[in-house]
Amino acid sequence: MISLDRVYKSFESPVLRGVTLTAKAGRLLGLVGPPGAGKTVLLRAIAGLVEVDAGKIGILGREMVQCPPRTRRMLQSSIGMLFQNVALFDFMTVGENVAFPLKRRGEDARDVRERVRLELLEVGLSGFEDRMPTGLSGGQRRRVGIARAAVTRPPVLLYDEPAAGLDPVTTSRTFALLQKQRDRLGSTLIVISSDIDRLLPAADEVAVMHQGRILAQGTEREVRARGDPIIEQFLEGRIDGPL
Amino acid sequence: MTAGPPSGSSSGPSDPNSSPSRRALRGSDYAVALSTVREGDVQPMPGFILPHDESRASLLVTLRATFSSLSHTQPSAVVTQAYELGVRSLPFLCLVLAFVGGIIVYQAGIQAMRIVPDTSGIGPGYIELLVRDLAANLTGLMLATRVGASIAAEIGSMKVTDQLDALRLCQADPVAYLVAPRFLACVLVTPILTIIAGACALASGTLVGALAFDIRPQNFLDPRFVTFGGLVTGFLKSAAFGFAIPLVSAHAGLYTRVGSQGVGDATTRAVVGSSIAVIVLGFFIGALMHVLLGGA
Amino acid sequence: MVRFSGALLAGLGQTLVSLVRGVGTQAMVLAAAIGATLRGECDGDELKSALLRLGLGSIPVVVSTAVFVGGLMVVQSAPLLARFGAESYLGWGAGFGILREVGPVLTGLMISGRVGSNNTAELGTLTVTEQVDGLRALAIDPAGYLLAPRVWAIILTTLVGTAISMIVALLGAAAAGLFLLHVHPLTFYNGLTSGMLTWLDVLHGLAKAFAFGVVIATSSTAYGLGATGGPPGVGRAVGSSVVATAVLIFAMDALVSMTARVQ
Repeated sequence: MISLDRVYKSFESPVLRGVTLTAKAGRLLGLVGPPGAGKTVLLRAIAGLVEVDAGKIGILGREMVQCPPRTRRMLQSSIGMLFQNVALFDFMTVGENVAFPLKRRGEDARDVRERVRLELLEVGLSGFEDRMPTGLSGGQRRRVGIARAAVTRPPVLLYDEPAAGLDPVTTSRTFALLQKQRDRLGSTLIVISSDIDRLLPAADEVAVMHQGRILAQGTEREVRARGDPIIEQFLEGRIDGPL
Repeated sequence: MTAGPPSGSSSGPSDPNSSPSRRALRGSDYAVALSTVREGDVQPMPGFILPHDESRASLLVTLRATFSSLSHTQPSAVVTQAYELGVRSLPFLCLVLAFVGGIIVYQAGIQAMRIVPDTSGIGPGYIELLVRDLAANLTGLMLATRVGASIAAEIGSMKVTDQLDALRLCQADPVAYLVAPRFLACVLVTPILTIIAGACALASGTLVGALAFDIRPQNFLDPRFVTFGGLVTGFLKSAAFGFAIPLVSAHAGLYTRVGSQGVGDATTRAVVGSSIAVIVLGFFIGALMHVLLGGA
Repeated sequence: MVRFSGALLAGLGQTLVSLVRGVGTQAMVLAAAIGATLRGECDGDELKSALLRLGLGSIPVVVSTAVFVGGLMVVQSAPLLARFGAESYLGWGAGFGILREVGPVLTGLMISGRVGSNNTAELGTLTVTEQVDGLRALAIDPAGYLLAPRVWAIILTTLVGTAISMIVALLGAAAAGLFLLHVHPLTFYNGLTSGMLTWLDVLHGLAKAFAFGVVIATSSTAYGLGATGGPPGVGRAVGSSVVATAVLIFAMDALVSMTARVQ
């Protein structure tokens, strides 16, 4: 469903150094790795917000890299994304934020209201439609971001730290929600999270990224079986090791 | 409105992972996606300039992007910005122009007394200067600071918090949503602000003339030196400033660098760039009009 | 109409109130800077670095603007001079305007925009990232390390910058006078030095430059230190700072112009 082939990207220094990755359709892929590995840049490249220097990114059978504007629009309409700093529009209410992707498609106003209500219900923020983003806690903003990403039921969902700063109960609820999105909508999810303990059980596959490369991809068992010391140290959160 | 899934899609009957219900869902999603691509939109979204293209980012690109999104702008957004940038700047503007007007009349009066103790030319001369030049220049400079800083700070903040990218992902052109309304508002509002502020400067100048040099307001408020060419010059200047300030500032905001100081730096660039634009444009328009109107 | 003028007056009042409040803070900044320097705590390295960053970096802007400012003065006064046949007075008129008014004020505004906002941005960033508090926690009084070097650097920059811009603006005016009004450079020079302009006028301009430097330094510092709310807050602080500084520059200008009754 989403396949990356030897993707390279440098800003002032190399960030992505030949990333090869596959996210199977309708599966949840966890993307983990130490800070600075390039995970966020990778996600943005998949979303078409960053042009890569080399490589291929296939989404829904189309090529994202260097694609014509029409294709890019089509692909981006099929993608929902939660940004690392949530990126809620602070000049709109919560309800307007969540409704925004729907309104951009010209959907009927009544349907929009109903969908927004349902989506906010799913993330546990019923009745928050008229609140302004600035008055919300970090965790609440993140949940609004998840609602906005998912409201169009896109086939591809990209989440950058969906559970950052959330309490344990809300974190569990969030990961449960992600799994529900995978199951009921059939969406393909790529989730970046530093909360390894919660992510690994929820994910179908995991990819470990380090310094711009994918060290391993597969089920948790397969990845651990690689015997890579970096992977081992990271997944177990040990202090001593190559990292 | 509804089209089938595009040809060549990888998901289809052969995909073992898709159940019929999932496939149908994806099909309709494609349909919705395609239907959002309007026919005239085959150009790359101008506001879509990607981060690594910053080295290729130029003011001209932003200019072109702004112009092509003018037709997509919502009038309500323009009105909101006209209030924010225009009405809210008025107190500041009137204060400054009142100050400056007073100072100029004062200085002119002193010099006149020094050379030829005839104060009859001060009022008419001042009015002529105001109309042709001073009101526009000063309003432009002050707007360059206030409006320039405001636009750059707002757009820049949105950039560093990824809101611009969030807009792009939802197929909303940041230029059409953010830049174009501010641009239009400035173009429309600057000449009006110039007139109002100029009136304040006139009032304070008359006051100073009366209090410091005993010039009676009736004698002071004599527009006999004002020419049509002068009026045109003043108007052209204020229009040009209303044009340049939002462009320079929005450009600075769109290319804000990430990091805590990024927004502050972008604001600085906007203020400096807009001020320089006002001074340089003011000079060239004035010189041009002078030559055209048979000066040189 | 009544409501509009009511709103206008309210807005004016609000502006003035925030200005007065701001002036109080700025006076405190100045006092802190002076106090720290007198105690010998002004950090030499910081001073050098500030002079380079804030001072040297602003010279190109100041110079390039000054050329056009000089030209602008000529353009402004051209029709009036032509009307009275007073082209030979151009040297004197431009000189008077540039030395006493336009030179200091416009240079002040440009420096406020370039140096002042830079200063506010830097200090604002330090403040919102809590580095200023960090300094205090290390028992380092920010006044000697942060405030004093910047304040002196900015005042010096404004003085030197104004002096340079006055010269450059006069050159620009001479050039514009030649091309637009066919005033020979010698005539211009004669008008300048004919005796109606004296060194007192230059002093007048430099005195203003000093006052503006103080205003820019204290205002930008005060706003920077008061920034809250992350990067957007820094942007807001810069915006408020340049606006307030502009008003204060004009207010100072009026004050000096009208009280320094040099002839």
